Amino acid sequence: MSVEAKHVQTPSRGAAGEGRLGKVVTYGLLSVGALVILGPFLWMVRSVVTPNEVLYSDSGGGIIPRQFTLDHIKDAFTAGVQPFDVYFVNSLIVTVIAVVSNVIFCGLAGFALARIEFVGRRAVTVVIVLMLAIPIESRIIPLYILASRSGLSNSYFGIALPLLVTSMGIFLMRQYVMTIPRELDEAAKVDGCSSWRLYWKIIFPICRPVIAAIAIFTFITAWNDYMWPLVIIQSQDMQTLPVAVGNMAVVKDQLRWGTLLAFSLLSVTPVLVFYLFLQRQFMAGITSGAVKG
Amino acid sequence: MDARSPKRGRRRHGRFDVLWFLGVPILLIVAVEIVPMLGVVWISLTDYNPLEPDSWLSFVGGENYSRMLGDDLFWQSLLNTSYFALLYLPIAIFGAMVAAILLNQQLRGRLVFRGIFFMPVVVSWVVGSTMIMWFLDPSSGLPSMISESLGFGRLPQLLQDESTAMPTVAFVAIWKYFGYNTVIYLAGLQAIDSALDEAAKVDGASALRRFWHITLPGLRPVTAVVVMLNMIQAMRIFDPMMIMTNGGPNNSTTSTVLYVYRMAWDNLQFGYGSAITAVLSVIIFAIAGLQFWFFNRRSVER
Repeated sequence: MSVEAKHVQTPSRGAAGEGRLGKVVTYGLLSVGALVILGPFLWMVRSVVTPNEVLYSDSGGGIIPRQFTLDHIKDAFTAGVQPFDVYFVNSLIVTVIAVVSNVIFCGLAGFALARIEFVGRRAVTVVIVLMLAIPIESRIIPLYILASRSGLSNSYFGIALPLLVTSMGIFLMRQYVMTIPRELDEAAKVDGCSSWRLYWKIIFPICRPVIAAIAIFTFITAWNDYMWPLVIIQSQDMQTLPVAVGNMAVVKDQLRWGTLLAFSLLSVTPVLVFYLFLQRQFMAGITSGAVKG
Repeated sequence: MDARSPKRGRRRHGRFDVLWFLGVPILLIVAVEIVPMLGVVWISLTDYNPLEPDSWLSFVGGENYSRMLGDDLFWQSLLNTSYFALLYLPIAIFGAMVAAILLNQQLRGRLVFRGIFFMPVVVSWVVGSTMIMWFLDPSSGLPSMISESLGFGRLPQLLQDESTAMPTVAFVAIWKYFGYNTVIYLAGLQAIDSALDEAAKVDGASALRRFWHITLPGLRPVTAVVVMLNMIQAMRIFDPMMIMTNGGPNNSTTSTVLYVYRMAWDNLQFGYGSAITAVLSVIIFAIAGLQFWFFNRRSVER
């Protein structure tokens, strides 16, 4: 696929792209898909800035209402059981704990499984691979029993517990370290470098792409996690954003949709801002388990 | 290297290094993944109640399992989950494959489309379910407004009708996972040797024939992975039901995991909840195992 291919002028035109009709159909289908996906999101944005009296008027305010308000956003910080920023800080702390812990410990374990020879290495690796297919729902009841009986309910550590180390992270890291030439280790050893230094000074920096993937994957999972925080959190002031938004949504209080949507919008905004700038890393990070696994 | 300086080779990593590297991670994996996974079997043989701390030793034998056999709601929750999978899987998988094929062309704006398709993947189920609930609201939602202005009248309450509630929940799931599958398929398409396609084109093979004989077979391994991931995803569905319908109307959207949640955290019947979890886990392992077996056999045959 070099110089020659470029002369052929249609290097990767697929089956549907032939001719003008094909182009129209392609764009038509893709646009319908994009509209269906963006529609609910844009509708949320539109409704958040629409005053209540318009939102609940008989016409619903039309597609683009004439009045504009920031009251719903303000309400999110004043009118709830707890203001938005309390939940935001909770989510932030839990997410940071999960990401940092996952990056450090999955990295260490992945390196050990790829490089250090020890009795039972094969067995540990097989167990890690087997755990990949097991979702949290398969173990949530005993995990809840263990965590709550160890007094971890209602603590940030307890909320982050299932995401402190993940078999997926360990597995990805192991696969990546396996591709690094062993000569690098040998050279460092000859220079008198300990395994610990070798890992932090040489291997860890090389692994930046997979570390980024693990960090992004954990960030999204922790920020959006719902079922585990729902069962482990006992008090209102420890709730993370999904639990808080979920509790409001479950009630379906007809007159509080404005605030609920403001909460929803505010809670996805940080994620979407990151996503906007790091699209490729997000796609690689979130699908890495599927593509490499 | 080893031949030249065996002493160095042996000392490559110190004897206790492995503890520094693996100690904490393995401890956590055991405590958070392995013990709870095996613990499900234990708890399912008891009638554990969190209000009675000693009840984790109160064995009841296979009582929870025999109760399941006669529990219509349990069977309905399995049926509901399967119905959800049936609504969700074809569009989420086949639709995403088509989208990926369309996006794999030289196309202006293909990265923008890809970026939009993938966006819901980073949005939580909670927020996604909430915004779609509002979007489909009969009096305040966009489709309802459009339908009314075209003279068709407002949309019905989709989530309050047994026949439309599950399709609406499935729509949320498709909305959320369509882009995920699309991106995986795009990676799969890029792995197909484009020289093969070019050669066929030079030989005068039609677009349809090339699609059928080159693209589709090339996508088989990716499809195996996508089908497995999405089937498991469907079996563990919980969030959108919890947010949108609470399992209603008339239990028509009570998924298996939602039923487990009700049993354990509403009724405090952790033993029974664990028994259902065990059955669900066997189904999930079976899906993973089947795909693994199928996948391995294929790669051996080649």
